[in-house]
Amino acid sequence: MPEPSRAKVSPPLAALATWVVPGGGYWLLGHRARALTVGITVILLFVVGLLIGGVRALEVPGWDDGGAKIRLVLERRFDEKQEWVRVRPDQEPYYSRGAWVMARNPLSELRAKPWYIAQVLAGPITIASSAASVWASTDPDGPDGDLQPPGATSHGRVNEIGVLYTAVAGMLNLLAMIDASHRARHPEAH
Amino acid sequence: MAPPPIAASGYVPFMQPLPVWDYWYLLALPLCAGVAIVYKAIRCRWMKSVPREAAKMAAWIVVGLVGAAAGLWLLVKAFEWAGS
Repeated sequence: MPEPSRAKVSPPLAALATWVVPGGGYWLLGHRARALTVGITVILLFVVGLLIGGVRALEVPGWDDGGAKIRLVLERRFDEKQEWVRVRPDQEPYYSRGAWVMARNPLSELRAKPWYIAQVLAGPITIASSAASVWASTDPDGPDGDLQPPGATSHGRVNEIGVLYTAVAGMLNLLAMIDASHRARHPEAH
Repeated sequence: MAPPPIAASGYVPFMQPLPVWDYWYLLALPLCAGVAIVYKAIRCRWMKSVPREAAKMAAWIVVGLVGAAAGLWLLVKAFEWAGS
C-alpha cells in the first residue's frame, strides 16, 4: 500500500526540509520508508564520493587550493580602465586589503567551479565538508615551511569519480526536493 | 625534523584519495545502484516494489554503460583503421 500523506506541509517547507536533511520532506509528509530510502542513499553516495576522491575533491568557491581566501584588488589597466585582478596571499599588503571574490564577483568564481552547484544541493553536509576541505588544503606553516597540508589532492579518474559521486548525490537530492514539494502540494494524488 | 611525506605515512580515509587506481571502473556500480534506488524510491507508488524495480534499473544502466563503452571503443578502432 502507498504511504498516506498525513501531515499538511507547505511545498517550500517540504523542499527546504529535504535540503536540510535528505529525505526530510518525505518524513514530514509521513512517507517514512521513502524518506529513509532516499536520505540514506543520498548521504551514502556523498560520503562515498568523499572517501573515493578525498575531502579535497570538493573545490570550494572563494578559497584557493592552498586553503586561502581568494581576494581581488582593483587595478588600473594601460587604457586607464580599472579591473579586478586576483592577488596571491604572499602579495602583502595588497592581499589583506583585497575584496573577497565571493563578495565582489561570485558568478565568475562559480563558473570556475561549476560542480559545486550540484554538490551543494546535497545539503548542509556539503557545507561541513567544504570547511573540512579548506582545512585539509591549508598548509600549516606556509609555502616555505616543512609541514604539508593534512589532505592530499586527488587526480585523474579517482578525482573525477569522487566529484561525480558528490555531484550526483546533490542532483538526486534536487529530484527529491522537487518531488517532496509536489507531493506536499497535491497530497490527494499520492 | 620534517614530517614524512603524506604518501609515506599510510592511507588516511577522507584525507587521501582511495587507492583504487586499477579498479576505478568498478566504482560505477555503486553509483548506478544509488541512482536507481533514489529514482525508483521517488517514482514507485508502493515502496515494496522499490528493491525489484531498482535492481532492474541498475542492471539496465550498467548494460547501457557497457554498450556505450563498446560503441565508443569500436568507433575509436574504426578511426584508427581509417587513419592507418
